[in-house]
Amino acid sequence: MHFDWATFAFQLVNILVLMWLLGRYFFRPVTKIIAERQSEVDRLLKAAEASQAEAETARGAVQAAREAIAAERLKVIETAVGEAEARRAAMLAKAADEAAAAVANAQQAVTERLEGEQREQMGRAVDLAILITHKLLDELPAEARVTGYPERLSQVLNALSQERRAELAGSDGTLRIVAPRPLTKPETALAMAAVGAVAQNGALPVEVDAGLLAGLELRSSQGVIHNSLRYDLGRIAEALVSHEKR
Amino acid sequence: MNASPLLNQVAFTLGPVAVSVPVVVTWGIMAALAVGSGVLTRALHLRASRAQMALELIVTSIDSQIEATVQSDAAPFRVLVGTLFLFVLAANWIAVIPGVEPPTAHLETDAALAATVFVATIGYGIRANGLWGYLRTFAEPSWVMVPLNLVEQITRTLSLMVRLFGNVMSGVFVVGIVLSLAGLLVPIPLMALDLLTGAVQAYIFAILATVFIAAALGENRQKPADTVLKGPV
Repeated sequence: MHFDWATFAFQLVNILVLMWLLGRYFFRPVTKIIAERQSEVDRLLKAAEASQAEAETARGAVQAAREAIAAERLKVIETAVGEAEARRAAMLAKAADEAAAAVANAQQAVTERLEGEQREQMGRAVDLAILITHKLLDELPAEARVTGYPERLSQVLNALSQERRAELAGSDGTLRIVAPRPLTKPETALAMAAVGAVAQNGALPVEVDAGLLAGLELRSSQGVIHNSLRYDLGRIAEALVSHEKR
Repeated sequence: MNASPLLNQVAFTLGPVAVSVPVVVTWGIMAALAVGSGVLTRALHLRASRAQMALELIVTSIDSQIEATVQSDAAPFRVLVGTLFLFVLAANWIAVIPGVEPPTAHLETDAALAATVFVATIGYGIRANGLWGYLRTFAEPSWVMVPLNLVEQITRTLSLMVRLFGNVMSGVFVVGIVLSLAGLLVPIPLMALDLLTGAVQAYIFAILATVFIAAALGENRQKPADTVLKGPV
């Protein structure tokens, strides 16, 4: 078999030239475009990752905002519920107070009305008692309206302190004896003797007040020493009213 | 078709130098590959067309085969191995054109291819390990192995050459015999078989060249890039 060295040399050079040609016009541009695509893909992947990270961040922010809104909503609801509860309690308390006040007012009104009626009835009863007493005293001797009362007045005046007696006597000259009818001389003497503890300047004037029914009182601008049947009846009526209240 | 594939017909002469037909056919293949590459790669885009995708598929397939064999980045070996594969494939498949013999059916072409691999293997080995380091690889695992390793360098190059020559030449030879004996259409199945054989031989040649380079590199290999392809060296 013949070996053609010239052909071998040609083919050797041809292979080297072909390597240069394919490297220049085939492998280099193709690998370059592949590398560019790879870098573009990497860039897009990084951009996508960045976008995904931004989206995750935004989603986290939205989630946080949503949670904050939910928390705020719960807080507002709790505040509103608390305010409503407080307002409800205040309204209930106010209504209870108003109801209690209304009940108290009603009870007060009823009580006052009852007391008024009772007082009116008692007044009528006193008037009736006075009328009856008046009738009865008219049938008794005239002394019955005064007898015993000078001694009683004397006991009351003696029970008073010296200061109280001086205060009652005063210095304006208004101190006087009040009797249910004009006094007889003996009765006047007894009366003067009874008020001797306060009548230091001599005899006191005697004033007639039929409303006393019976008794002998001492009056001045500084006070009154009650000592009459009329006053006793009134005191008995007040005691009865007080007893009814209890 | 040439009656004897073992003989080189002279196409023309350049002074005292006779230019054989396989050289002319090789020039034609080179022109077709170069022009086709120039045309197809003239307007590459990030949004690839079908033709561009085919080109990229070829390059990425070559790269993946290199990286799987060398276990390092394919960029330094892409042009050599890729050119060997594409040229051998084109040279083997040129037989489908009536009246054209594949250049690889002639021993000179296969010898030139094998010599290229031989020199490239030594060059890559020296670049990766240094001259002394590369020479020391012949003494592994023992100095006793130096003659055997030197012989292996020669024999594996010869086997590379003879394997390609024998397969392609025999195919052309068989087709020529059958054509002369049976008739026009009978060799077609054999020609189809030759296409398959030619593709397999191109793949084997390129892979063996890659294996020889990987053996010369030893442990000094650059790790392959994970994602980004490097440009041609």
